[in-house]
Amino acid sequence: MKNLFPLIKKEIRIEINGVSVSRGNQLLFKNLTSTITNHDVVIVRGDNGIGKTSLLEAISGLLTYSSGKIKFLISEKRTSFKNLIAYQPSSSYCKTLLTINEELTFWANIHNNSSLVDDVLKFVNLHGVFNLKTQNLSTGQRKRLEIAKVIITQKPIWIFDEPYAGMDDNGVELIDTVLKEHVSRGGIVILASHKHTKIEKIQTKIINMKAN
Amino acid sequence: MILNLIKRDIVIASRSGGSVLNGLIFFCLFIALASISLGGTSDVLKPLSPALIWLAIVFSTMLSYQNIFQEDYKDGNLSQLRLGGISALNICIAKSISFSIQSILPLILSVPIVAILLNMPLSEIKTIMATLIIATPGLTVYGVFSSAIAAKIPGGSFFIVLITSPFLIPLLIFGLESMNSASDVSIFNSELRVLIGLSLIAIAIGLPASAAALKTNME
Repeated sequence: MKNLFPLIKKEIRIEINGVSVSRGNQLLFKNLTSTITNHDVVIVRGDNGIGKTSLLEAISGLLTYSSGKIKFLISEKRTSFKNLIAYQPSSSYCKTLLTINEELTFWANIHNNSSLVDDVLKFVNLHGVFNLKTQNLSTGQRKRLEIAKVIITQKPIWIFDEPYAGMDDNGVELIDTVLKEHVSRGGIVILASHKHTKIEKIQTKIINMKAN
Repeated sequence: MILNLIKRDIVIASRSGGSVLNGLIFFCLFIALASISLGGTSDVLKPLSPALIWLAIVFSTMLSYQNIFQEDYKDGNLSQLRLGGISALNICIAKSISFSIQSILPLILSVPIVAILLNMPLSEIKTIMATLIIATPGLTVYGVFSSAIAAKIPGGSFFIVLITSPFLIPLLIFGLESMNSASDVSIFNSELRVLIGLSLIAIAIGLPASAAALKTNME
């Protein structure tokens, strides 16, 4: 398990400075300021439609924000979000015609970690069904595959949108274990969730979003 | 990494069946219906067959343009590739190669069969294959370009036809002209050279333009 979660020795910091995000003409939130660093778990809470997903996408660099700045630093040096972030949206981005093994191997190759595929599959308990096409997976199995894809990026910052949705107790347990392991080795986890789980017991920041 | 992307696209296309066969079936239907409506006699069809084949190829590739980026945009794969550090240009190059293999290659391979059915002489079959192969980069890259622009637009197929037709008309004109002036001695007439030029321009200008369009759509 140790080789799946590399120890992150360098100091990593995300500085969110006065960020405002709008969707269409509607301003979702403004002047959000926060600093996130190693070992942090950030949970974004708020009602539906308040902009949780938009905030996660803005941090992931996939959404342009209207004002403010998000900076990424490794040992005080500026770097691009692409080097740090693994983002799992609320819906799966599997190609339905590929098998689990093909899908995971593809992303492993993209992130240059193809040697880890077998270990990750064993870890998330999909090793027995690696030849199943992803369109035939159950919700829980698909979530496991998503977790596997995040692990295989070997990036220090993990961003999840609603990771617990549709998971049974075992699944929630698995996600908590994975996130805890990552955080304890110096990683950063940012997630939007409605569910209250054990992950809150470790060093956690909560960003509560309220309507303007 | 480009190779991984190409391989994955081709595996998906070969399993989905429908989208590849779409173009091929349209191509054969177009030729069949055109022959029926033109009377079906070989003295009428013979002078028209190169034009029919070219038109059928252009229309059936146009049909498949929309699939190039739209699905990857919708399901979030483009964003993930971006987070994986793959540049927009590399994505466009990979998509161009996989598109020519999965959508244009089957069409070109079926041309000799259709040409024999239309009673075309062997020399003409050779030239039409050559012109089509030379035009493939142009046919591909303009499709990639329009699809990159229209990735975000729901139901963008009309838009794609609108953008690509002005680019495809020169290819069609010079492709057919070079067939007309092809002699038994050499097929390298000036029209064919223009066609080669058009395809090279498509690569040189179309690929960076597609990359730029894709980049703005990914943000």
